[in-house]
Amino acid sequence: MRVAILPVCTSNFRLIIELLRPFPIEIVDSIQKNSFHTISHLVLPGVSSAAETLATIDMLGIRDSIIGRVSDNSIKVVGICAGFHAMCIRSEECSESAGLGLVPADVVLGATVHPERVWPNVGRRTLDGNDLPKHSARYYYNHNFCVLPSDPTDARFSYSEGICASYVDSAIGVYGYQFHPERSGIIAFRGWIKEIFATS
Amino acid sequence: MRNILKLVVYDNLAYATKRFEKNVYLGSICSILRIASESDFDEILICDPLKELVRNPCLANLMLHNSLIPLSISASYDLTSYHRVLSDGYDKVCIPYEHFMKNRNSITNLIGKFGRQAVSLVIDYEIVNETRLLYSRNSERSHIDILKLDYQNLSDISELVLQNVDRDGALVGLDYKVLEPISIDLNRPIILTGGFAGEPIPSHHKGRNQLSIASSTYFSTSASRSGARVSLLKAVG
Repeated sequence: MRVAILPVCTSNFRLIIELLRPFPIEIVDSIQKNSFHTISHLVLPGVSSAAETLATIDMLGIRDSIIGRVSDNSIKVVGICAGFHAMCIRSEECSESAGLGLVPADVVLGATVHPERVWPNVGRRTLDGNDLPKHSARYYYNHNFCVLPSDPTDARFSYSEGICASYVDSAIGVYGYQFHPERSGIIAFRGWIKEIFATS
Repeated sequence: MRNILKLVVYDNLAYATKRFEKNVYLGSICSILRIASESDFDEILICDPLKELVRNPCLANLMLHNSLIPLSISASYDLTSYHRVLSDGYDKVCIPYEHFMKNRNSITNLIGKFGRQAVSLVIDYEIVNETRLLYSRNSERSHIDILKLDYQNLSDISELVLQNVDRDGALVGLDYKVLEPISIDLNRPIILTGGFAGEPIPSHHKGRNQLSIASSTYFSTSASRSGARVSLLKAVG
């Protein structure tokens, strides 16, 4: 298992690298186009914008490789917050660049679809529902834009207080999270690591 | 409602303050961050009045790596330093009002790069003759009434931190009255700090997701730590 964190300069990618180091995961320090095929997991970090994430992907010249390797089922792609937004079809935050299209959803300004709420949506919240252990964890959110699924009945999406919280398609290895698992406390972070990297 | 632990950095250690002055020693920051990561706190607000974390980036990084809950820094840094702490992985920077207004264009650039959710505005105030005046550490008493600020014109900030200097460390309860006019004008999250003593939150504020409370009470109270923690968590619901 070789894990790379996309080096988006305005994101918390260095922090994620440090937080993953104690786990039995091989962290790839840099991403090169010609060795991208050796990476088994790509993490798109948050605390940034989808535009910066997509610009970094295009600068590295790996957009087609990501999409191709997902369709070959040879890589897992994990997006956190802005990284999740970059995985969607399109985003109001970066109208000049299409998203990766790995998640069947658009990204819109939160205040537009949920005007009844205070934005940004910030704080720790549980997931709606109670049928999985992960529903008891309190995850940290801090975002202005939110994911709007193309099909609201798509069971791969989960929600928190009616706002899209995650998209998990383990069959093709696509994982998107609106919340920050790396800022949600030790228990939630370990649970997330286990879900993504199948480690204990 | 978020439950935020406030720590003030002096001499590279964590303190609770009284009127912003060093008051109660709380402990090693990294130890507190580790404990807080396993508790029910939503966030940690680090106040760095003397800019020690700019001079000591090793400590700033060590703090990050010892925390698995969000860290915000409240300080008057230069733009490069704000950029650096956000790039390093801090979740938010909280910028004092006067500093924000003086550097608004640069801060707009910062918001463009990191997103609006990464920048908060801090309003420090004191009550003089029943008027809430903007407080400045570095200059003479301000005559700006914080209730008359143009909050509609602050649409580029993510949240507002209202810090009552008079009540800081006094454990006399938060100044809830300040919320009424501001919370209506500004549809943003508001963090209230200064004076929290574990008192019950007024019921009309408790149910709103706009209000959060920041306090050092958990670590600084003279009551037992577990008792203080229980009262804090009950208070914020």
